[in-house]
Amino acid sequence: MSDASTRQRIPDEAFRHMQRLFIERTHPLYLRFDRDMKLEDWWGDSDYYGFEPLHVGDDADSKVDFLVGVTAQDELELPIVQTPNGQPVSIHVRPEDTGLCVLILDAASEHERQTEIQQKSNEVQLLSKKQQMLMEELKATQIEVDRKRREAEAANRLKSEFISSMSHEFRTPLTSVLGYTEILENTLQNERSQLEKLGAISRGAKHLLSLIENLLDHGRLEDGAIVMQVRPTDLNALLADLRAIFTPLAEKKGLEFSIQTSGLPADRVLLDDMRYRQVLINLVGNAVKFTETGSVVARVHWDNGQLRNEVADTGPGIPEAARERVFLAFQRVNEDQESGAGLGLAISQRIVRIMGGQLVLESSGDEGSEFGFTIDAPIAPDDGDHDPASNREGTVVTASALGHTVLLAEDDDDIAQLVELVLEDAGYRLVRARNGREAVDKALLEKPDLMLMDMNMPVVNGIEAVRELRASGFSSPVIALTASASAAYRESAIAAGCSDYLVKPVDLATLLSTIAEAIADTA
Amino acid sequence: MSQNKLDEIRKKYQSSLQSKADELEQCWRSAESSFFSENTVATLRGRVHNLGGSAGMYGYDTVAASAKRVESQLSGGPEDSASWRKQVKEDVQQLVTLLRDEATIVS
Amino acid sequence: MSNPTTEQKRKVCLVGDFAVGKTSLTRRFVNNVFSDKYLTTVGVKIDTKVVEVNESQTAKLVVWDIAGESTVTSINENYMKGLAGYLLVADGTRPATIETALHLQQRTEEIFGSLPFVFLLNKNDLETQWAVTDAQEQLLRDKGWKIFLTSAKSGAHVETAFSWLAREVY
Ligand SMILES: Nc1nc2c(ncn2[C@@H]2O[C@H](COP(=O)(O)OP(=O)(O)OP(=O)(O)O)[C@@H](O)[C@H]2O)c(=O)[nH]1
Ligand SMILES: [Mg+2]
Repeated sequence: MSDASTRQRIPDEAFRHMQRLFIERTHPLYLRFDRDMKLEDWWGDSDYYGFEPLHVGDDADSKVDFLVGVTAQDELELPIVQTPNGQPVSIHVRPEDTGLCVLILDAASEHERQTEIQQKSNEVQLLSKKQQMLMEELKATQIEVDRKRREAEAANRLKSEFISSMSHEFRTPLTSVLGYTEILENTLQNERSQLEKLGAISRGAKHLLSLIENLLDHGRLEDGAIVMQVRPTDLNALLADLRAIFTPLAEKKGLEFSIQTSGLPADRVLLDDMRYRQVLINLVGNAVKFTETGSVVARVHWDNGQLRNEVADTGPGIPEAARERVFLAFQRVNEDQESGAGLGLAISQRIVRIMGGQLVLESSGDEGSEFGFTIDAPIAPDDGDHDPASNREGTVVTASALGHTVLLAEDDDDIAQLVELVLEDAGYRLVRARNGREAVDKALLEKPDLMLMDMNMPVVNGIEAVRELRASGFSSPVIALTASASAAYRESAIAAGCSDYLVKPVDLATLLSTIAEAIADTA
Repeated sequence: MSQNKLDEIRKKYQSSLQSKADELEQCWRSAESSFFSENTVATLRGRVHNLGGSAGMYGYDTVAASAKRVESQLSGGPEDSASWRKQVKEDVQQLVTLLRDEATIVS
Repeated sequence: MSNPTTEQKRKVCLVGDFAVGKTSLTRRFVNNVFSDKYLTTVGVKIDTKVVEVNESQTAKLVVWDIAGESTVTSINENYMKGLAGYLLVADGTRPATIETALHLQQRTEEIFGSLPFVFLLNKNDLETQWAVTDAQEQLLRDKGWKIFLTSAKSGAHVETAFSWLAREVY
C-alpha cells in the first residue's frame, strides 16, 4: 500500500486530526538545504529546539552542529540526539533531487524510556564485575591468612622442639648428679650433717627430674609425636600398684586414701596402661599434695567398655578464677604454690583426649575438688600370648608383610622414597618402577604380591599399564594412587583393572592398612 | 630405628624445596614468554601436579593445596586470556613463595 | 555570529565500552566539571568547544559522545558519519574494555577508512584498582598508537588528548 493510496482513503477531516496530533506531540521541524548545503527553507518551531535564529542561505555546518560532515547525498537515521540547549530529538536526513531534507522530531519520551532500561542493565553489569573482583581479592586475603597461620604453627613447632631438646640436655647431667649423690650417701653413712645436706640435694634433683619429664611429655604431646600404645591390661593389678604407691604418702600426711572400684571385668581391657597410669598418678598425686586434712578417694567404675574415673579430695579447692585455666599448660592453680611447672593437668588432659575422653573439673569448693574422666576400655580379645612389647615403637610389623613383595610404580622420587621407607620398615620387600612401561615389565618379571601404581606417569600411564597387565594375566592386587578425587576417574581406574585406589596425598597409615587388607584378601 | 631414616628423607625433601621453587619459576617464565604454548603449559602442569602429590605426603598441606589450585587452573586453559593469566600468575607466585618459605624454616 | 565561516568545524566521536568515561571526559574537556555519579548516555550527546589549532588559529570541535557499545552497530555507524577523527576510550580498571577498544578501532577503520584517532586509557586516578596487564600494555605499545593515560576526575591529560586530536583533524 503506497503512501498516496493511504492518503486517498483517509477522509480530509480525519487526516487533519492526525496532522494536528502529530504536530502537537512531536514538534516537527523541517529543514531544506540546497546541493551546496545552504538553507533554502524551513517549517516548524526552531526555537523549541534551541536553534539560533535561522536565515535563508545559512550554511548547514555553521548553524546546525549535527550536520557537520554531512553531505547533500547522505541518508541518515539518528534515533536520539541531545544537544546542550535542547530536548533529545530524532533526526531523519534524506537526499532529494534539489538538495537535502532534514526532519527533526521530539524524542524526549523515547529517550526517557531507553535511559531507564540502559541505566539498569549497565549498572548490573558493573556490579557483577565488581563482585567478581571482590571475590578475587577475598581469595588473595584467604591465602595471606593461611600463610600467617602456617607461620604461627611453625613458630609453635619450634617452641615444642626447643622444649624437648632442652629437657633432654638437662636430664643427662641431672641423672649423674643423682647417681653421685647416692654413692656419696652410701660412703658417708655416719656424717649426719653432711647426710642431711646430701638429702636436700637429692630431693631437689629428683624434683627437677620430674619437672623435666613433664616438660618432655608436654613437648611430645604438643607435636603429636605420641601414639597411644593400646594393649590388654589387667585393671585390678594396675590399681593395686597405684594403691601401693600412694598409701604410704597419704599416711605420712595423716590422710585417708582409698581406691573404690565397681564393675571391673575379670578380663583384661584394651588401653594404654602407661598413659592411663600416668593420668591417675597425676590426679591422685595432686590431691595428696594439696590436701592437708581429710581424705583422697579414687573411684573407678567399668561398664560396657567405658571406664569412668573420679578423684576427689578434701583439699582447699581451686579458686573460681583459676578453674577455667587449670588445663592450660604452664598455669599454676595457686600463685603461692611453688612446686611444679603447671604441666601435669595439661598433659593429663591431652592424654585423656587422645584416649577419647575429656578430663573435667567436676566440682571445687571449700569441701575440696573432684576431677573426672571417662575413656574407652573394651574387653581385650582373648588371644592369649600377646606380647605387649612388640609394638611399642610406633611402626607395626605385621605378620602378613613379611616376605611379601610390593612393586611401586611412581615417577616422583620424593614420593617413592617415602613409600619405600615406610613399606620396608613394615617388612615388605620393595621393587621400584619409574614409568608405566617399566611397571609392566617388572610386574611380569618379579611377580609382586601387590602393586602400587601411580596413575599419572610418563611413557605409559597407569591406566594403560594396568590394562596391559590384566590382559597378560597378572592377577595380584593393584592399588591405584591418583591425584584426582573425581569419581569418574576412579571408576575408569577400577574398570582398567585396579583393585582399589588411594587419593594423593596418601596417609601412610591408610596406605599400610590398605596394602595389608589387599594382600590378606588374596591369601 | 626407622624414625631416623624418616627424618633423613624428610630433611632431604625440605632441602629440595628451594630448587623446586626455582624450577617452577623457570617453567612459568618459559610458559609466559611463549604466550602459553601448549607444551610449556603442559610441562608446568606436570611440575605442579607432582609437587601437589609429594608435598601433601610430606606434610606440607598448604603447599599441596596451593599446587592443586594452580593445577586446576592450568587445566582450565586460557579462555579469557588476560584475567586468566593474571590469576594464574598470582597463584604460581604464591606457590613459589610458599616453597621458598618452607625451605627456609629450620627444623 | 557575524562571519560564521571563519571558524572551521570538525566532528570528532568518542567511542568505547559503556561506563569507561566518555561523557565524563567530554564534560571535563568542555565544561571542566566532573561527577562521580554514573548517568548512562542514550543515543548521542553533542557538544562543541573552541580549540586552538595553532598560535594564530582557533577552530570549533563538535564532540559526539556516543553511547557505549562493544561493537559498531548500524545505529552508531549513522552517528559517526562525517567524523574527522575519534577518541577510543578504555577503562584501566576493567581490562576487558581495552579489548573492546581494539575491536572498535578495527571496525571503525574498516567502515570509515584510516582517520586520525587517539587512545585514552581512562580512570588513571584509580591506582589501586588499575588492572591493565603487562601483556596488554606491551600490545598497546607495539601498536605505536598515540596513547594517553587520562583521568576525567583529576583532569589529567584530558585537554592534551583532545588538543592533540584537534591538531590532527585540521
Ligand atoms: N575515578 C574516576 N572515575 C571516572 C573517571 N571517568 C569516569 N568515571 C566514572 O565512571 C562512571 C562512568 O562514566 P561515564 O563518563 O558516564 O561513562 P560513559 O563512557 O559515558 O558511559 P556510557 O555513556 O554508559 O557509555 C561514572 O561513575 C564516572 O564518575 C575517571 O577518570 N576517574
Ligand atoms: Mg556516557
